[in-house]
Amino acid sequence: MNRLNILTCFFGVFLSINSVVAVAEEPIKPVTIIPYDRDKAAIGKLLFADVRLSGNDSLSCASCHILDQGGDDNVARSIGINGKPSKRNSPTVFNTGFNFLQLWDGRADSLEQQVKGVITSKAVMGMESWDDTVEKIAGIEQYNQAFQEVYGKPIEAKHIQEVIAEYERSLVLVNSPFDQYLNGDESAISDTAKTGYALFKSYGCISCHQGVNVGGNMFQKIGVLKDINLRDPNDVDLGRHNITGNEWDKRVFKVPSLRLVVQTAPYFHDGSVKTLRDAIDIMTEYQLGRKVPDEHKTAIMEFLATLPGELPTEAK
Amino acid sequence: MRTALLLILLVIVGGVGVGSLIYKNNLEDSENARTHVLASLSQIKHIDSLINTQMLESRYGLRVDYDELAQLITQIKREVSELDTTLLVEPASVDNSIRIALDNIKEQLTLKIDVIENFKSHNSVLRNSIKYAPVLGDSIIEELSVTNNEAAQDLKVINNALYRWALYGSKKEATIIQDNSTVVIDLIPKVENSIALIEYSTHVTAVIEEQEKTQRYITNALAIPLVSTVGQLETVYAGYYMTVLKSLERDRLYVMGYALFALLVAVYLGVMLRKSYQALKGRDEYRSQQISVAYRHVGYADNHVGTVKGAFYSIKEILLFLDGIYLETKKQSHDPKKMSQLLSKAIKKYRHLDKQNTIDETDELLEKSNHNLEKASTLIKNLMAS
Repeated sequence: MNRLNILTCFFGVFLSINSVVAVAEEPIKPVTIIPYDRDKAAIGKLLFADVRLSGNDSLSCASCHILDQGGDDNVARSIGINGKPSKRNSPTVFNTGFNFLQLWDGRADSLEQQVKGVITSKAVMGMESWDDTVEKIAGIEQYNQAFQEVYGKPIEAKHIQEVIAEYERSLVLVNSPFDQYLNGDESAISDTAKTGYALFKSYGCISCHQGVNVGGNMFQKIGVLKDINLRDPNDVDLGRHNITGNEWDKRVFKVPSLRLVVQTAPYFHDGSVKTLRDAIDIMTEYQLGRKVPDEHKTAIMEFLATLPGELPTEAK
Repeated sequence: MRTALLLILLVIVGGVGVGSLIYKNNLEDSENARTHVLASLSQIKHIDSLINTQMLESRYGLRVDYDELAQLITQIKREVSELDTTLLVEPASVDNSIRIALDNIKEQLTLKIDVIENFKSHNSVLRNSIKYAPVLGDSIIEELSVTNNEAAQDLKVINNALYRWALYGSKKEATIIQDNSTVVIDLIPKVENSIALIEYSTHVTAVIEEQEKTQRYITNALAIPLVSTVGQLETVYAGYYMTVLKSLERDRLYVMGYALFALLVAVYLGVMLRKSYQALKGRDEYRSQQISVAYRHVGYADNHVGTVKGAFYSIKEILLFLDGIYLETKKQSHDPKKMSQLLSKAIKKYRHLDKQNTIDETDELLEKSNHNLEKASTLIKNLMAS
């Protein structure tokens, strides 16, 4: 009996140590492809770039998510169908399949919901309604035929939302230098980038920007350790509070992914920060309660530059 | 008659078949739905326990990213959403107690997700400060130990507590940190490197506040009765399923009753059919008999008519002979002897032609023939009328 107890104890200790070792891995994981339906994604690709998906045939999804410019439009706030800038900065479309929720305030549970909201948003794509959208798309023989082949029935709103979401799921950038480094290739990134990664972890950036997408899996209040009003008193965007109404959700936003951060300036929900160096400054000061020397920022930026991967051939 | 019987039989057998099929399908559908619902509920409970484990691991720094936790939340939301769809498709949606129990699960899940998201945010701040504050504290203590050793020793208490808290996360360390936090604030005006001390103070405060908050979020998350609401739905659904089973049992009895009734009807129809066949057979025999009698009467009549017809031929021949006698008699009218011979010849001839005396019976024969025909006609009319 005693032996059995000792064995059980050892086994328990072994398991505990094992689990501690297992979880004490790197907080950033390499990107892997998200499974998606290629036939649906093929239609989604066409629709993504089709201006007929907007109310006045002037905008497409690709207007604000330019694939060869980091998947965003590199302006502070995108211009919507009415010619006015939208409320928030357009994030990159790459790797969005990894985000736990979509949009800055997380009001879309899925990519399908995000598409659903954006197409009929008066400030963005400006379609009257989803009935109108379906009617318009169904009136185009090319789509009619393509949807018929994939779904075997007349086009429905959810089909349009699904194909675009499937296409977005295909937009995953893999095999970045940093992912190669994580997979064991020590020479994939420079020593400065390695130092940058160590600093990224030690300064605590990693506490929010972690996981496969280096962010995109949690909310965080902007101005955790220092009142953000000190930076910009005119910023009155209350973020997730607008959705939930909860007091504690004031100025809470989804933590953005940093995978494409070096290609997607300007930064923050309102695009108010022009350079990455400034963004690091603000984040470390207001979120981490730290002042970071310039050489550290340089190293962190070099690390961040190793994060973007490449689009797999089959998704191009 | 026969077609009608077959049609009735077809309706009965078809009814039993369709009834059995509907019963079988309903039973299968209900069992499938039940399996799906129970699997979903079990999965929800399982994911919920994984979420709780992940939260605790994140709280104590054993988990360094939130990807898996985020995926579990997505999964549990999907499970509840699919459960909603299943119950909406099922007639269970009309069962108010199921609807209430499901709404309760959704409400508890929304609450729990809200708490978890808050936990993640605050836990990130806590993890950041708990990692940084002791390191920063060490450098401040090192500097202070040269100029103000007493203050350095005071800071050591709090800093060691920070280390221990980072390692074990016990409440004792949390109390020490909290009790000594004013030491840091009091020191700020007394030291040269106040910026570092302010930074340290900020992080110590963050540790105190965030550890309280994260602890509260964990307690709240674990206290949210998601599993018990799932249990409620299980109970309510089990009750609903019993009513479904009872209803199906009633349907089964209906089908069996209908089958029994159909069997009785089929037996009754069989007996009736047999009786009908026997009666038809008897009537057929009677008709054949009557037809044969009628045919016999027609035969008699035909014979009589044939006899009469022979008599008519004899009469015709006699008349022709008499015509010849008359012409000769006319010539021999003056010779009585010849006349007598001719008369004798005529009588002989008559007797020869009417050996059977039919000519005298012609009327009688015709009357008999008519009588036979009338009889045959009556028989046929009766048969036709029957």
